[in-house]
Amino acid sequence: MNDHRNHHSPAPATHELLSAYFDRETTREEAVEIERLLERSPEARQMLDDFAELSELLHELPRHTLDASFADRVVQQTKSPPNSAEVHTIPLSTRSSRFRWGVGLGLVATAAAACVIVMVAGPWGRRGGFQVAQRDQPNFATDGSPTPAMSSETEALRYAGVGDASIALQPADDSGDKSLAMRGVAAGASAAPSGAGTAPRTLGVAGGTAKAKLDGASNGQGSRIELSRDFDIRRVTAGEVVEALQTSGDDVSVVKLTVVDVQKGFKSVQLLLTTSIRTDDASKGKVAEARKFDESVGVQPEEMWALFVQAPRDQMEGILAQIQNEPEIAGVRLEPAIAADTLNQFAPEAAAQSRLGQANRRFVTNDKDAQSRRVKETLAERTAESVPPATTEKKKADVAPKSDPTAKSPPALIAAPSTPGKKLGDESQNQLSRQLALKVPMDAIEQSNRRNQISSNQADRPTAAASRAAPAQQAKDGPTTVNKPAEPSADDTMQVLIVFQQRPTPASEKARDRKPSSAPPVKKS
Amino acid sequence: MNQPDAELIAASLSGQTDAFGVLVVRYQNRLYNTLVHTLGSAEDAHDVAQDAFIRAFQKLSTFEGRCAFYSWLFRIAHHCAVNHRRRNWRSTASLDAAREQAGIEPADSSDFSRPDHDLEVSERQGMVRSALQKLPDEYRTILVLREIDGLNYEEIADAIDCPIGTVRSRIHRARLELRSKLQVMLKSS
Repeated sequence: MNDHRNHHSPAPATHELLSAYFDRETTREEAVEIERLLERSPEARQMLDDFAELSELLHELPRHTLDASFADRVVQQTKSPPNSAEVHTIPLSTRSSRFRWGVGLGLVATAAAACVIVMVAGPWGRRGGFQVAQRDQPNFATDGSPTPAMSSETEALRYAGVGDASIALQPADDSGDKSLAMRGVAAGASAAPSGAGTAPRTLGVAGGTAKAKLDGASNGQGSRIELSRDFDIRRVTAGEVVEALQTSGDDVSVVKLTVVDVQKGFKSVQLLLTTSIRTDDASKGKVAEARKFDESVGVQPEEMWALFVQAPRDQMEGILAQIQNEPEIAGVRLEPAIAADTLNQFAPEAAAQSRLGQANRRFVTNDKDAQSRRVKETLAERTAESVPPATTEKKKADVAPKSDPTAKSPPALIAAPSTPGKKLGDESQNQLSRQLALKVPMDAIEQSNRRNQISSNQADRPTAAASRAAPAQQAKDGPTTVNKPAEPSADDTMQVLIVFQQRPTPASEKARDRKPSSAPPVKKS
Repeated sequence: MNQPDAELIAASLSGQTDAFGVLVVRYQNRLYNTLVHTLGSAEDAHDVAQDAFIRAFQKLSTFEGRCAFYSWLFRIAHHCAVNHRRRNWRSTASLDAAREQAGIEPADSSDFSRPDHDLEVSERQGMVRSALQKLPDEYRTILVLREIDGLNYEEIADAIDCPIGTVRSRIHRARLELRSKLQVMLKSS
């Protein structure tokens, strides 16, 4: 009897075919096979009958509908720009350097990185150089002192968009504290603040309690975000979503904040870049290369890392949009370009070296002059290949080193072409998935930002919506260069510089703490 | 209202938010109904649907038209639902704990607990819903997409971002598991 049943029992693979057959999702051959089975197997017929009955039962379930105002509410929310470029900061209470060390120590406990900086560069043709967006101004300078861009009284993080919030939570006491970057979405249409979504804000955290304040950037009204009293910052982990109340005048809304992990963010964006850009045989190596880079280098504490990517415009636009939705990325926005000269001015003193393996070590040399020449050549080469002839001369001139009195130290510029043994310009447009890893000194970024800020104040600053739509708008509007006008790239490619900032780890801070020359004074509590 | 999705998407991208509104009206009930059955809560489904539409608008420029707009929309909603579940993990966990400790089912406050037909139909629906909710998430989602939403395998693969082979095997396993849970109800058995 059992033998008989087994004989007619459908094999596991055929089982699945039964379901597909029921759904009319089989090929002709598979359908024939199933029909033969059904002829000889009562068990298969029973199964098919049961599937039909289950289907009826499921169809019997009531259909649920939304009220008519749902669409209106959604549309209303979409009318506010989700991301924008304007950033406002608010001063916060002064913190001792010791407090910052405490923050770093807390980070180790959770392995959650604190701060993400994402800089996105537009096409060379748009601003004649790197176009940069910065997210979450770093709280630490490379030497441990407060950065010039932020006074010791100011620790600022960015808050962007409709309900998109980024917040650093920094309890005042030193024990077990940690600083985490968060991003969030203001919940619901029921209580959107009057200024919400119209402009990005900067969040800071008032010391002493797990409270955050943010300014009402769009309307000048003070806003503030307050976390639940039950919220225990010491237990929060990356990926967790916490809710907070945001008050702005008489309006109150719930803000959902997601703790983000910068290291994961770095990796996921790298993966996104390497998988999103169409690969062919020539560029497959770059994926592996990027992984190798990822494994061998990773993100070191306090370092600012940048990925340079050039790809066809259509792919790049998609990538940029996707990056904004990466859970670990606190945010992306476009900012005025980092001028090539700003980056390159550090080249003469740069201890350039490649970390991408033997094949890519064309910059590795003990001859610093040669290093400098190579870096400059590369920058000039990239510039020349990306801008029309009319602007090339200007770009090359821009690349020439300039002295900068604000430069603190000779930072390192690590450059590595992604295709071994090939000039960057040798690749065809379809193979443009090259990435250039640049270890960009914070000084360079800050100087560039300051310059751009000055330039931007003099010129028309792009609106939030314009910034968000920049990749798409670039094709339509042409260059909007503040300081170096240029035409869009002839080959319709985009070049993007994505920069990440990792906060210091306790180990690095301790090490730094031991250096009297670089460590700021420590106040004893 | 009969404008193709592609035209509405293009109009939305050009700044006509009302065009996106038409897309919302077109798909809101379909998405919401699917979410109610996958999430098991009308309230959660509402939140996730709203979040999904807003995210869809934000990501609209990345929609390449290689799959149906609804599949793409559901993929976003699916991610939103996963986040939503993660967010509400604690409350779910406490609910499960209460259930285990008390040995009873907590009162269902969703729309499901309000029968609007005769008692028999209502009871039957209640059993089906309960069985559906006891399926693993990946089985429930795929079965709802197929049976209630009416997507074909390719659309499901697009919607949940997995290969068609996986869709095929999961649907079958989901049916087998649901069948075992509803064995007593099946007339044919």
